[in-house]
Amino acid sequence: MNNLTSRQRKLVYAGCILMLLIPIVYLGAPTSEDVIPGSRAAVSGGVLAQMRVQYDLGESTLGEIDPSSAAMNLVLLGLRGPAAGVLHLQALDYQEKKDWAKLKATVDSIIKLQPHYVEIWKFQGWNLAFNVSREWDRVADRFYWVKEGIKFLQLGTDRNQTATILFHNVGDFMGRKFGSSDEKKFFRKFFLQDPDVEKFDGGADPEINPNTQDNYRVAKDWFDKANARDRLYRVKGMTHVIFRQGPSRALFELAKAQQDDGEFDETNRASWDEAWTEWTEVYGNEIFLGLNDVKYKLSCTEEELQALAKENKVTLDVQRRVWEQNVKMVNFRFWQNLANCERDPLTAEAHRAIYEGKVAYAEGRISDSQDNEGNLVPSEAQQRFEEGIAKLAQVLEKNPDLRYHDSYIEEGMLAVYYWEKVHQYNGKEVPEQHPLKAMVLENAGRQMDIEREFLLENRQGL
Amino acid sequence: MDFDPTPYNVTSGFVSWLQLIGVLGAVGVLLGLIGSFASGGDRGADLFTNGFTSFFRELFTVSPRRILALAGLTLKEALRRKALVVFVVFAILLMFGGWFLTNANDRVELQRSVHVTFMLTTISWLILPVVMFLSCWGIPEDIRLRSLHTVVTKPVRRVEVVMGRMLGFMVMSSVVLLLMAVVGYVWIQRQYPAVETVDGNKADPLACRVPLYGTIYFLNRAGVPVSQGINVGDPWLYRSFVEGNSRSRAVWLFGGVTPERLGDELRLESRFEAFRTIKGSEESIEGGLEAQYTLVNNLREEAFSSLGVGASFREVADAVRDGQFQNAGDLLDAAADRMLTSEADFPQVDCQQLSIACSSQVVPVLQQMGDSFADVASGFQLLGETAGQVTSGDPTTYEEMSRASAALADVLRDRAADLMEAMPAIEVPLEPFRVSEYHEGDDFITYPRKLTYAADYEATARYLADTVSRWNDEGRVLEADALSATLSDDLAEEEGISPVNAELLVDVLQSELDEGTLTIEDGKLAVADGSRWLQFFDRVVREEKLISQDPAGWVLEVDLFEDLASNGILRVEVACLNDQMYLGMARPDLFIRLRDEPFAVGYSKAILNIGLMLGLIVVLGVTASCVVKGPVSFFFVLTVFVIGQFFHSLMLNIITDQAEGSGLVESAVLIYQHRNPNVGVDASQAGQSAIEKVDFAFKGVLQGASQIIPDFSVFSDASKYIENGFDVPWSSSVLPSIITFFGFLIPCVIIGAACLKFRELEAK
Repeated sequence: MNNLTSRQRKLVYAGCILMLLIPIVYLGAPTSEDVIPGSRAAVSGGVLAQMRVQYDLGESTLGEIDPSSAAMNLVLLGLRGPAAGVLHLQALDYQEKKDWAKLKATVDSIIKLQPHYVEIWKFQGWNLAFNVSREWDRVADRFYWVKEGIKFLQLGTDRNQTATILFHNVGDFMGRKFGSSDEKKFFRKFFLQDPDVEKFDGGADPEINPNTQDNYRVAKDWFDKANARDRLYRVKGMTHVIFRQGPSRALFELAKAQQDDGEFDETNRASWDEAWTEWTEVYGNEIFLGLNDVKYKLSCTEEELQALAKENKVTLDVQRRVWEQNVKMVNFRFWQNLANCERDPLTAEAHRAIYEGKVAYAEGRISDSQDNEGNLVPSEAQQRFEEGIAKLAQVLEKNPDLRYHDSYIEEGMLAVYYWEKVHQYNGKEVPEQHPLKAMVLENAGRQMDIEREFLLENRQGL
Repeated sequence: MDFDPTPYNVTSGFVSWLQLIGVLGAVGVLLGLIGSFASGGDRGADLFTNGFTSFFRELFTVSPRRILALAGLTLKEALRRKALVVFVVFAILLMFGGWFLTNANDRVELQRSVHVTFMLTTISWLILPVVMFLSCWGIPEDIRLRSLHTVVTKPVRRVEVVMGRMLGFMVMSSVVLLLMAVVGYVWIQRQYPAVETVDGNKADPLACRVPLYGTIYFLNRAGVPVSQGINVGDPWLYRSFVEGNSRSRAVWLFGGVTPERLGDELRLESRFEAFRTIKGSEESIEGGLEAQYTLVNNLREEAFSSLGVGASFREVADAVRDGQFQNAGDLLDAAADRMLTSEADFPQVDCQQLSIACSSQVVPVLQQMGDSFADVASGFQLLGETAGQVTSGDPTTYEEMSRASAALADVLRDRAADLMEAMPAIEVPLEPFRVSEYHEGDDFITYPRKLTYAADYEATARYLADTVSRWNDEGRVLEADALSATLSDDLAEEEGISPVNAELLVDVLQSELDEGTLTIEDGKLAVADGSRWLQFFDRVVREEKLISQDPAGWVLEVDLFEDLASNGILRVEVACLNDQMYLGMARPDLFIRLRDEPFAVGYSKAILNIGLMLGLIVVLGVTASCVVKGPVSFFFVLTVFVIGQFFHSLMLNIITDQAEGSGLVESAVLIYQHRNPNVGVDASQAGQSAIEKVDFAFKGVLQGASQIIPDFSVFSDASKYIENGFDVPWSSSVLPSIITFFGFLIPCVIIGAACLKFRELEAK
C-alpha cells in the first residue's frame, strides 16, 4: 500500500466505496412508490423497504406521517421516553387543576412523541370524551369535549391504519356517547345542528358528521370500517363474534332511538327491517373461528352445519355445540326476533298508541267528557292507552319469546300504570281486567321501579 | 387555573434580608480572620485589618467610567462568542411553532393561553443557557488566558471587574431579550388581530384584565360565618362550594372601592365552578347553574358576624345581626341567668370564641362608630374579657360572665333604637346570571353606579322613615291639621315613589292617625308613644301594612359608592340559586375588573421579570466564577437555578411540615424496614430520638439553603398572569422580582469582589 501514490490510493478508496454501495443500495434503497398505509402491497426498492411495507414497520405504512411529530422526535434524540413520561404527568396535573387548554395541548404533544402507541390514543380519547366532557356544566360545552375526544381518536386512526380497535372505538363513541348518555336528547340534536352556530352555520360539524347523518348511522359507518380493518389486522383482546356486531347493533340502536324520539312511522319500521337484515344476513353469515379454531357462522341451516363440520373435519355434534355456544353468547336469536317483531306494523301501532297516550297525559288531555247525547267519552289519554295495551298484548301473543323481555314488560306495565292514573284522575274505578293483567301479576315485584319511572317521565319529560 | 395573587410583604422581606446579610457578613469576617492568621501567623491581625479596610475603601470608590468600559469589553467578547446566534434559533422556532400549536384547540381563549405560554417559555429558555454559559466562563477564561493580568495592573479595582462583567452580560442578555420580545410581540399580535364587536368597536382579544381582588369567607347553610365552604369531594381543594337554594353564601370584601378607581360603574367578573347532585332542569342543562350577587352594606354583619360561632350565643348573635337589639338584650339576660345554673350550656370553648369575637370584631367596629357608643363597646369588651377567663368547673368565672352579660343586656335594651339607626343593613340583590363554567371572561357583568332594587322590610322602613321625617320637618305632610290632600301626588312626583305606593303610604299614615298611633303636635305629625320614625315604620312594615300592590314592590335607588361602599369597602355575597346544586369558589374567582390594560403593558412586565431572572443568573454566574473554574461554576449555577425554579416551594413545604412524609433519615429507615410513615420507625426510644435530632439538623440545613437559594418561580409566575389574560400585578409579581434581584445583587457583588481580591490569580 505504501508503494501506491496518492492518486492510486484515492482510486482504491473510490473503488471500495463503490463496492460498499452495492449492498447498501440492494438493502437500503427506498421505495419510490406512494405506499397506501396498511396495504402491504408489493413495492419496488431495497430489501429493507420491501420488508417495512410487508410487515407494517415503516412510519408511512403505519399511517399518515405528521411532520411535526417527526421533527419533535428528531430534536429529542433518545429522550423521547422521559419527555413523554413528564408530559403524561403534566397532563394529569392539568386535568386535576382543570386547566383544559393546557391538558389538550399536552395531550397533543404526547401523541406527537408517541404517535403509534395505541393505548395513548385509546386512553386520552376516552379521557377527553368521557371524563373531561363531564367536568363542564353546560351541555354545549360537554358536546364540544365529546367531539374533541372523537376527533382525537379519528386522528389516531389516520396515524395508525393498522390499529383496528381505534376504528371500533370511534364507532362506539359516536353511538354510545351521543346516543346513550344522560344528555342524549341534546347530543343527538347537536350532532345534526352543532351549537356553535357561528362556526357551523346551524349545520353539523363536518369533521365528525360530514354527511349530516344520525349519530348511529355515522357509528355504523365506523364499525363497518373497523370490520374491514379487522379482516386485514385482526383485533386483539376482543372476541371476534362480539367485535363484528358493531354495524348491526348500531342499526338496532338507531331504530330504538327513533322510537324514543316518538317516530313510529315507516321510517322506523324500515330501520328495524334494515337492522334485521344486517344482523341476520350480513353479521349472521360472517365466518368466525370458535373453540379449537372450528369455523362456524351464526345464521346456519342444518345443511350448512353439516358442510361446515365436514370442512372443519369434526363431528356434527362438535360443530353444533360450537355453533350453539356462540349463538347463545351473542343472543343471536333474541335480537333476530326483536327486530322481526319491531318491523311488524302491529308492534309499531302498539308503541305509537302508548307513546301518544303519554303525550296526551303530559299535555293534560286526561279528562273524560260527554258527547252531544250525554254519553261519557273517555279521555284521549285513556283511549290511547287502552288501544296500546290491547295491541301490545297481541304483539306478545304473536311473539311469545319476547314476553319476558325487559323493555316490553316495562312498556306494558308503565302503560297500565298511566291508564290507572287516568282512571283515578276521573274518579272512576279501575277495571279489574285488562289485556296485560297476567303480565302485571307475573311481574308484581317490578311495580316500584315502574312507579319511579312514571315519576321521572313526568318530571323530566318524555 | 389556580393562582392566588397575594401582595408581597416588603417589610418582613427586608428584615429577613438584613438578618441573612448579617449572618453572611459574620461568616465572611470569620473566614477572613481564619485565613489571615493561617497565612500570616502573628501578622494575621494586621493582614486582616489592612485587607478589610482596603476592600471597603474599594467598595466605596468605584468608578462608573471604568465599570462601563469593562462592561463594553464584556459585551464585545459576548458578541465575538456569537451569543446572538440564539436569536436565529428563536426565529426558526417561531417559523415552525405553528406546526405544534395550531389547531391545538378551536376556542380562542384556550388557544391564547397556549400561544402566550409558548412565546414566553421559548424566550426565557433559549437565552437562559447562553447567559449561564457566558457568565460562568468569563472570568475563569480571563484568568486562564492571563488577560485579567493586564487589566489588574491598570488602576482598576477588583470590584469594578466584577461589576463590569455583570453589567456587560446583563446588557447583552437584555438586548437579546428585547429583540426576542419585540419579535414575539409582533408574532402574538398577528395570531390575534383586533376583532370588531357587535357595536362596531374594535376589541383586543389579548387585552389584559386588571383585577381588584378581595378577601373571602363563607356562610354555611345556617348563615354562620366559616372559613371554608362545602367539600364536594374534588381532590383539588382549591375551591370550596356553596350550597344552592340555602342561606349558604360566599362573601367577598373588596377594599379601595372608590369612584376614582372604578369610574361610574361596577364591573364584576367571576369564574365559578358548578357541581350538580342531580341532572337538573333542561333550562339549567342548557344554560348552566344560576348565581346571584348581592351587594351589601351591613354594619351589623361586620360587627357581629362571628359572635355566633359558638352555639351557646347563637340566638343572641342572630338577634343583633337582624337588628333586634331589644330582643338581643332579653335573650342575653336569660342567658346570664342560665350561666349561674347551667354551666354545661356554655362550654369553655364557646366562651373563648365569644371572647375572640368581642375583642377582634365587635369592639373595634363599635369603637369606629364613635364615642356615642362607648357604653356598648365597653359592655362587649367586659363580656369578652370575662368570657375569656371562663374555666370549666370554676363557678366564680361564670358568675363574672353572667354579671357582664346582664350589664350588656341592659345597655342593649337602652340603646336599641340608637343602635338600630346607626347600624343599617342594605342588601341589593342583583339580577341572577347563568354561570358559564371555564369560559374565562364570559361571566363579566357591568352594573351602573346608581342601582335600583326591590327593597326588603328594613330598607323600606329606613327609606320611609327618612322621607316622611324630612317632609314632616319641612311641613309638607300636613295641611290644616290633616294629611295634605296632594301628599301622594307630591311624593310620587318629587321622590320618585310609584303612584300606587305613594297612595298606600298616605292610606297607612291616615289609618295610623285614625287609630291614634300617630298624632298631630304643633302642626307636625308625630308618633304617639314618642318613639322614632324608624321604629314606627319598622313596626308598620313588619305588620305588613305596607305590602305594595305595585308588581315591582318598593323600588329604591342606591349609590354604589355613597350607600354601599361608603367606607371604600364593598361586600359582595354570592349565592347559588338551584336546589341540590353547588357552586365552587376560591378567593381569585371573583374580582372587580378595573380598566383593561393593553397587552403590551402586561407583556412588558412579564418580559421585565424574565430580564430580572436572566440578570440574577448573570449575578450568580459571575460571582461563582470568581471562586471556581468555569465548568464548576456552570454546574453550580445550573443546580441553584433548577432547585430555585422547581423545588423551592417543596423546600418551604418540608421546612413548614406541609409536605407529606417524614424526615430524610426516618424515610430511609422506613424504606429499609418496609414500613409506612403512619406506623413509624421500628426502633428504641433512644434510636427514634436520635433519628429525629438528625432529621431536625437536616431540616435546619434545608432552611438555610432555602434562604440562600433564590426562588426563581417568582420571575416565571408573571407569565401565568398574561397567559390567562390578566395584567401582571405590581405588588405580587413585579415588586417581588425586583426585590429578589437586588436582594441577591448586593451581597453577590461583595462576595464576588472579595473572592477575586483575595484569591491567587496565578492559580489557573
